[in-house]
Amino acid sequence: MTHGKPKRILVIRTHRMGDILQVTPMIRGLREKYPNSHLALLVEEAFAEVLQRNPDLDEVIAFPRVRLAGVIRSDARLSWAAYRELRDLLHRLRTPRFDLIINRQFTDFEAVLTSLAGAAAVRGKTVGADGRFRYADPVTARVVEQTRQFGRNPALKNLVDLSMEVAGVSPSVRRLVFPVRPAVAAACEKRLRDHEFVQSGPFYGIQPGASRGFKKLGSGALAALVDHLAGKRGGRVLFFGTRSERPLGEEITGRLRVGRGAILNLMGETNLEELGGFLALCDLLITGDTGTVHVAAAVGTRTLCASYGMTYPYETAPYGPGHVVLYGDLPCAPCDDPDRCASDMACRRVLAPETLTAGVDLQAALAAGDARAAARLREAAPLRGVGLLHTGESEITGDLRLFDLRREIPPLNPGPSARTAHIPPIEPGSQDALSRLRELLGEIGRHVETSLAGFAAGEKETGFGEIVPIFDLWSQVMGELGSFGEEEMDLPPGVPERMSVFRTDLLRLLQGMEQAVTRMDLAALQDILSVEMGPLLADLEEGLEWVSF
Amino acid sequence: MNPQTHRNVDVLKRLFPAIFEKVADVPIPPSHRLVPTPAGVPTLRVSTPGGREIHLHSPVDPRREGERIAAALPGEHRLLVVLGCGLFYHVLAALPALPAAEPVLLVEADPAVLCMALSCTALGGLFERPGVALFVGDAPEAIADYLDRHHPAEILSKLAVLRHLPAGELSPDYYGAVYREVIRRRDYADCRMRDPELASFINGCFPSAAVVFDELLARLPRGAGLGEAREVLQLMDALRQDGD
Repeated sequence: MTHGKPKRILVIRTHRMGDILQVTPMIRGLREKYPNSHLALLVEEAFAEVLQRNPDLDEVIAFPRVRLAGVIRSDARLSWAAYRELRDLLHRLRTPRFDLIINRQFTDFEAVLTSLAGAAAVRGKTVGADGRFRYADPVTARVVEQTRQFGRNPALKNLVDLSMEVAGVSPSVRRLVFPVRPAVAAACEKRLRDHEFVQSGPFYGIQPGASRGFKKLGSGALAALVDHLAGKRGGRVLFFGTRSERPLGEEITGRLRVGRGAILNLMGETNLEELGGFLALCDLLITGDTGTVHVAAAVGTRTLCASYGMTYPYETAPYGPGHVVLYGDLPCAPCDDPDRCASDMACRRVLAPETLTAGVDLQAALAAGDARAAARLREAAPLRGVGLLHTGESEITGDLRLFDLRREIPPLNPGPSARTAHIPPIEPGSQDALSRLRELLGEIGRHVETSLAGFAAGEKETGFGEIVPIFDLWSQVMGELGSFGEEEMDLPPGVPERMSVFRTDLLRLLQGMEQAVTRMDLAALQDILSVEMGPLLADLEEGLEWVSF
Repeated sequence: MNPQTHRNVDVLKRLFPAIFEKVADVPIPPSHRLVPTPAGVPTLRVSTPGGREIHLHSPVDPRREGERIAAALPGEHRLLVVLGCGLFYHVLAALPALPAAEPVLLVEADPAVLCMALSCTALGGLFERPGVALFVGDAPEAIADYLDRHHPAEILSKLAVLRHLPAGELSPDYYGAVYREVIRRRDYADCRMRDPELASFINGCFPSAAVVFDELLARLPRGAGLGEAREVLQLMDALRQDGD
């Protein structure tokens, strides 16, 4: 736990562009909470340049992680040089030392580095005094434990929001930060004009490739999709990707029936900032779960994101309102190892040409605020059996919320939202934790009542619609309960143990709820809400009476 | 064959049959000559391809020279490795000061040299001594492997190396390679004894760590401990094992 304001803060999130972007709202929150502190970010050197322009950071520590890992694994001759680079990195993190390190990387190297850097306070994965890996804050520890038990985080919380919860911050604007300089934006516009791309119809971006094979979109599906976009929808299409992926773009172009003048293949021709500049000019990006989808979200471009295989949209969906996620929603999803999938990755049907084109139409209807058209499209044949999620925000917490379009069409084109009344995160174990718990329990009770009333009236959408907020709130309760076990708190004997029992009961109950929701087992869900949750709420409220500070 | 040579060969055949096979039919090259000395025992003179002549032992008194070499051994050790045996004068001089149970590992590069030693030095008692191991022209890695398999870290950390310098001059590459393998075992083991956390690096000995370790050994004062280097090695190990 941090005492006083940390003067020097280091955030560690070293690799994958999308993952790095997902901590930028947390960094914004840290900047607002500690305006005079020195704020640094440790990243892989390939991403450093774009982070240098993040106005919230005082220092970007670029680190050649990929290159050094390659040397250490396969080129012993250069390992002494690698040793010296690692030693210099360690020196840099120690002189002067950081007061707070927030490690949002879950890999071992960053955990060892976090431990060795010797900060006064640490959050995230590190190495304990016993030499074992540990999670130094209750939020991360809880999520890791829940993920271990359930396979995935049952709180359905996006990683962006989890990062902010870990750091104990709530920025005034919750948005990924990816600055594009005006000159670069203007150069991107000029490039499109030079290619005679004029805004007579929508601009669509497509990222066919991905760093990991199972996330890639197929060329056949994309050719049919491009025909749809450039033909029926009268749009222009930009391909994004790396130089090595360029042949994939050319393969798609070779299969097209529409004029190639509607296509601009930018694969391998943009740096990261230019990618942001071009994406900002697009009306929609179509891609899998790639770093590009997060860049698009950051520059305010809506996306249609195909999510399948190991990808779990509740954690990694593009952050911000208005994105549509097509989800391979099977009992086995998200899978552990797509390379060993016995079902030949049935979840990949989200990539079928007709699914993607219907997804584009659905996204267009939602963006236009046409709820009726959206409701009709979700029932259309190409989208049957496909999970349909739409990003919005939780009115209670301000977190990203995924609306299940099968159950509800969310408020479209929302005006100023209730997010101005965000419940700010509370420092774990603080004096306010007790009253916060009571508030959370009250909120849960109200949602349970509303849900049960909805089911009783035959309004399933209302009943199910209350479940996600209940998960959100329980997630916060779990975090607060974790803070009661911390050593710094002066608690009566037996209270931490009692809280631990509550947490175990809660985990079991949440697991049951998740299974019931997954199976759409209405009876089981009602049973849990009415029979199990009520007594647990009462028991927990009674338990809180014992706690005195 | 005189009785002394007969006994040498018998013991060698019985205790080290593989080495016996190796030297049984080896021809003595004309470059190798036993030369009498004033002290009454022979020395071995070898002509190199470059035209130099190297005496493997003193041309005046090889036994006394052997005693001086043996006296230079450090006081505390629990395993003796001799690199270069020649006619064994220095080896035989070193034996009386060793505890009876101390293992001795003898390395000779040239089978012809061993063959000549068998013909002029009483070696039966040495070969029969418990704990004696003999290697003739074996690969350095095989010798290191023998050390790893037969001696625990606490023994390896206390090994001493008796380098016969004229032999090293004659076969610098071979003895240099063996020396590096052997001394690395000692220093690894020594560090492991002082710093148990290093076990994962040293036992695993991934190639990068081994290179770094050698660089460190050349730079760190002996007994200084690894300190920060241990931490950086931990980082290397974690980075090596992490997925991308």
